[in-house]
Amino acid sequence: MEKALRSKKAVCFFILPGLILFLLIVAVPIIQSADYSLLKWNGISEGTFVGLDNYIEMFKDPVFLLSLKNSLLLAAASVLIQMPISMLLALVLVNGVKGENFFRNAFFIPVIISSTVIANLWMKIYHPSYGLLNVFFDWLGHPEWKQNWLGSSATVLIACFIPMIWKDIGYNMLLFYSAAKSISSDIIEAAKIDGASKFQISMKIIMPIIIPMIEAVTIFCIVGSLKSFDMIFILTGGGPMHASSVLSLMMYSEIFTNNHYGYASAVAIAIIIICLLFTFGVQFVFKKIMRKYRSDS
Amino acid sequence: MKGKKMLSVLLAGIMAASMAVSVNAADGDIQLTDEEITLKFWDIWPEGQPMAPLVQDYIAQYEEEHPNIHIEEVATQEVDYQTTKLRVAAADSSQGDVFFCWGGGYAKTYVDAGVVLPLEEYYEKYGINDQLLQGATTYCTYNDETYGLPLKQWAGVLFCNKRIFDENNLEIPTTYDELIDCIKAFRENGVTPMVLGAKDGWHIGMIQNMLAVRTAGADYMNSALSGDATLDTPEIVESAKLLSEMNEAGAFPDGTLGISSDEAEELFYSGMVPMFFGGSWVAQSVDNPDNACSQDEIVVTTFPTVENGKGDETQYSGGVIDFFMINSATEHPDEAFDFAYGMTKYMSKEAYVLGDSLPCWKDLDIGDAEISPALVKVQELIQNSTGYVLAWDTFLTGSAIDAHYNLLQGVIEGSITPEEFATQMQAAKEEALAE
Repeated sequence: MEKALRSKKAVCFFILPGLILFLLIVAVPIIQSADYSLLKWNGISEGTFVGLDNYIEMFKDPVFLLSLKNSLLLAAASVLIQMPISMLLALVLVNGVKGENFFRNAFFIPVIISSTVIANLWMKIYHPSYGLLNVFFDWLGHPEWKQNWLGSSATVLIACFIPMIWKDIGYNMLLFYSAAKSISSDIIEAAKIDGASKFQISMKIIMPIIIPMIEAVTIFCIVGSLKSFDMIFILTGGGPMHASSVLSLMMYSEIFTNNHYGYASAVAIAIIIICLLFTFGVQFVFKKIMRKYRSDS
Repeated sequence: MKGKKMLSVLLAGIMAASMAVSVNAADGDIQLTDEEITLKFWDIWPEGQPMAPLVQDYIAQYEEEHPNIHIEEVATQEVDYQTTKLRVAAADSSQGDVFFCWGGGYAKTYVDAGVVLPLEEYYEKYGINDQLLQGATTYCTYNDETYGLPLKQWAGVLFCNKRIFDENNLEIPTTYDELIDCIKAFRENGVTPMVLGAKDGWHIGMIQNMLAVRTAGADYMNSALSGDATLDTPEIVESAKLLSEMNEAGAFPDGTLGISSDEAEELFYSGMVPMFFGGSWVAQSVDNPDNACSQDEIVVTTFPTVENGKGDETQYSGGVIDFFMINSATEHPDEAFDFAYGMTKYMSKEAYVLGDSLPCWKDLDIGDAEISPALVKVQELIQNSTGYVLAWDTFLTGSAIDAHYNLLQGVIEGSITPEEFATQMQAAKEEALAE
């Protein structure tokens, strides 16, 4: 085995199938998109080469800028709201509560349910006349709090973000939970003997050890938010008047309702670049954090 | 020289003879191939749709009559078909040999790209122009060439639930002012007056487009939408103003911008909302015995007239927009057309019986089949029609459709003024035409 791995030819040979698949289904389409993004093209007739016009137009397009803003807001919300909640739940479970298995499974249920179902569920919750939320406000005796949640530009964004964030809490929680579970019990027990409280164990032992997992989850959250499509597509379709539009939804409607295939390809490339920038950014920040921890200890 | 003349006379003779044969082909026996072939047929009626069994019945019938021709049906849900499937396939002409397509602005992209077969030749061979109602091919004709077989026509009418009107001691409105009074009276009694699911832009468009037919008149609207005249006129501003006035008077369900068309229509079918301005296809659902609103309660009438408007009560929104078209890359154009022709006539007849739509073919033999009562009411109503205007979103192309929906939602939300609506619609139309 070792001998085989030392031979460069053998390594190349074993990597080849995976590499070919990757090139065919990931790299080639991206390169094609980059090519299309330089065209003014409706997707059916002949396209004309326009250079970087699509990219210039993109930064003048109010719908693109709004969608970019919404996507970034969603990314921020998932890192600043979703992740801390997931972490809190994971730490509580790891420290041992009654019915640990039950809670772990219960929190994970929204992840298993299809987004389409969740979106429909929340559409009923938000329904302006018979929705659970408005009925609840009526019951509280505060009908003035009732809103047209998905139909008004003022509330639509937050109304969409809540189910999106809620859905993935369980997934992140499970990742944190399993990383924390894999910490050797010797370390935790040693800390207990030294008189560390549960809070101290969580903050000073578990969290630092699972930093690589926190890094991975941060990247998932940000990239996932920038690519999110399905829930908003069903909840609002980006409306009213693009108020809840996000990047991938905007790209979709540019292709399929507006026939701007070239322009939408430029948006696609922009999404890829933004995702890559964030991934590198997060990796850079976490490298600093790791280095700091190592020098401290 | 004489030989040449003889030859040309002979050729002319042969041509005349072959044309005579071709005319006979109108009965269906055009020279079709004897080889085993398969035709792909793309439609928008998957399993569960009322029209789905009709398609399968005709395919079975056709395959029995032509044992060497096999039909492979691919049915896709309508919205997916319209927005993605057909568009992606048309990019490399891989759509079905015979495929369903909307006319007007929608098919224009495909026709311009050369993926649709021109049908003039077949129209002559089969003598189709004499069999169609006037104007049925208007929206599948591009550059004086016909590209589709018209399936059905629709008309926008006001469906009213008489029971709710009676319970509130109100009369069905015939003018816009009466409509507004009606809306206010219903609201005072705690009844939502009219169906609208504004989350779907087209649903608002149905009402605003109709108001524009009343304020600007059918002739003007047709020329404005096809590009000759401007959409930025006082009449079109007025149509948006009236829509906004109806909205402010409380015509539509609370929070309508968050409600989809299906949810809103359900309010009518369940007998909770008295008025629904919809297309003739609504007749089919009105007839459904599962619904709480009973057939006898439904009154079908024209949309109220607008004072000083240029369009009178005989003008409607509607027209012929659904077509079957032939793929220009098909290997068997003769067979594809023959099948499409038969399918069109069959569907046109059966959809009429079913209450889905009005026929656009003359002399359909429906035997003693019972036509949907609501559809009969629609048909009686439109007998005196003097003009039709298609829904704007089928007339317009590309980005203008998206702009139309957003501007309509803006008018309902109150963030777009009627003046802005007209100005921006015209700008969007010009931009889309320039593409």
